[in-house]
Amino acid sequence: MYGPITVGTAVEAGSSVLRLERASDGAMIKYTRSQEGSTASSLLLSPSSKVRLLPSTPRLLPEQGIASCIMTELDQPIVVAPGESVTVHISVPVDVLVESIAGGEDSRGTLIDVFSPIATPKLALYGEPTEGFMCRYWRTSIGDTGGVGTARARITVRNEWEKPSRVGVIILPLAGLRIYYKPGSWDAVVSDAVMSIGGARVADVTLGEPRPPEGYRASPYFEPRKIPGVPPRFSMSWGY
Amino acid sequence: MPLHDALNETTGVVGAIFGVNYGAYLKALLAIVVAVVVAFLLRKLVVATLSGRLPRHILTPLARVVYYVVIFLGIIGALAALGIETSGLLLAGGIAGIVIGFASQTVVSNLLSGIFLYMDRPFMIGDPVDIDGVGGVVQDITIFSTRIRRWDGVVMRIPNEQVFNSKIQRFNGSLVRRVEYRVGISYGSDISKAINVIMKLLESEPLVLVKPEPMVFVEDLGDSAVILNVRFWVPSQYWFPVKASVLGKIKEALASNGIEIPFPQRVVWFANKLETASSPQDSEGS
Repeated sequence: MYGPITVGTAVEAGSSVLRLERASDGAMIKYTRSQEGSTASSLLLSPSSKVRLLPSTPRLLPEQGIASCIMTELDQPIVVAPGESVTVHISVPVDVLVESIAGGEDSRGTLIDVFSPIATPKLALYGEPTEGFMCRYWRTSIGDTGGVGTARARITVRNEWEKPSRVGVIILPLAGLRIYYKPGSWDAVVSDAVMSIGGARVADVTLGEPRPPEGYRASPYFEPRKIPGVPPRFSMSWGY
Repeated sequence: MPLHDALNETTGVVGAIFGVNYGAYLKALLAIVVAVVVAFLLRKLVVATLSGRLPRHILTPLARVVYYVVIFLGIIGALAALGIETSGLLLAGGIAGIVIGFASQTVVSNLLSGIFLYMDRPFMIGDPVDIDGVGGVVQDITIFSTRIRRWDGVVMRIPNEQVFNSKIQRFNGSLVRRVEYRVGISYGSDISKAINVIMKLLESEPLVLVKPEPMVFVEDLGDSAVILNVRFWVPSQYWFPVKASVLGKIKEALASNGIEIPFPQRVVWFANKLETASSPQDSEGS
């Protein structure tokens, strides 16, 4: 569950189990993460260390700095009539961070571990090899309520083209995408987005203003907007 | 009145007064002044035109060469105006030029290739490349040569002329690169099962892309194995580590699923029944 972990507890996160316990010397704190029975990460922390779990937009796995967007492929594509607008809820993947903290809740600590609790983080290319975008790949269905390792996303699909449009893929830019979590749960949501279809293979995805829902906290781990003040936008030029 | 005539007239008047051909000196001076002005302007033009295209360490000497060539031509003009026979000088200069030209042919060729490389920009410093079979990371591009830090850590200097005329592969020119393996399985193995095992393994590899989709198909029916072609895409910067690790995993996955990777073997049929000897002695006795 997102938030602080106390020494002596074990947290189950999907296929991973996180443990924070006193080390054998009785003074240091030992952090371990095991996955399917084997230790995936382990380190020692000084006696007064505090540790917490936070969600991050999926930009750290499988390797930091590769993905610039999230490609969500819908299990069941949707068809939107011309001039019509539909709002759908889907899930997006989340990287779970373990950090050692010293300051306030809104500041970043020192990252000690990052993992994906649900599935192997995968990548996909959107567009051409020379001028496309590397995206974190995710398969989801309409109405997916998320769960551990995922966040909910509310997408408004607006068909501004003259013909009915079949939407099977939605790309969300990582720059400017904010993530909010409910402390004490695995519940997380990301910024709202509007997908405006402008042609047979062209659509624009614009992220909404950063506004945390009631009872949620903003995670300090996200990629800032490229141009401050301008709503982040992604042009889907290779189809949807 | 044309300038030339005006100068000649001045020459006559001033020369008549002082007994000296001042007009010739004036012409020579004018030639040098014009050359200096033209050289200055040309240098400015070269710097302004190429400043975005060429690095400073190439642009500065190039502009200097242009400047001094024009000044040199101005001096030749001035000498001609003073009545000094320059044809001998030019002949000597020409011969010297030919000699120097032959001697510095390679140097000039490398210099020009260096300039063209900067304009063409087939790669940048830090790019992983293969130039004429030399693979490595571009460490420096100078006016005469390109330095490559080979994969084994050795720094290699390649003259720019050779670089310019070579086939250059730039490995980070696109976001993704394809890895390809040929994997042989025995004729007795279940092909569909082998393909499924490999596809499942590729799914579990984080850096193997979902799109473009990985492919596994029968490429050839070889002498002793069914050859499967395995193709998948990875982010360009992780091409080598992934290529180096996945093939071993494929071998292990196939082995753990009972799929045999055969050794080369040949079935030989003999027309007559073979007689076998149980020991060397038997063989000698027969």
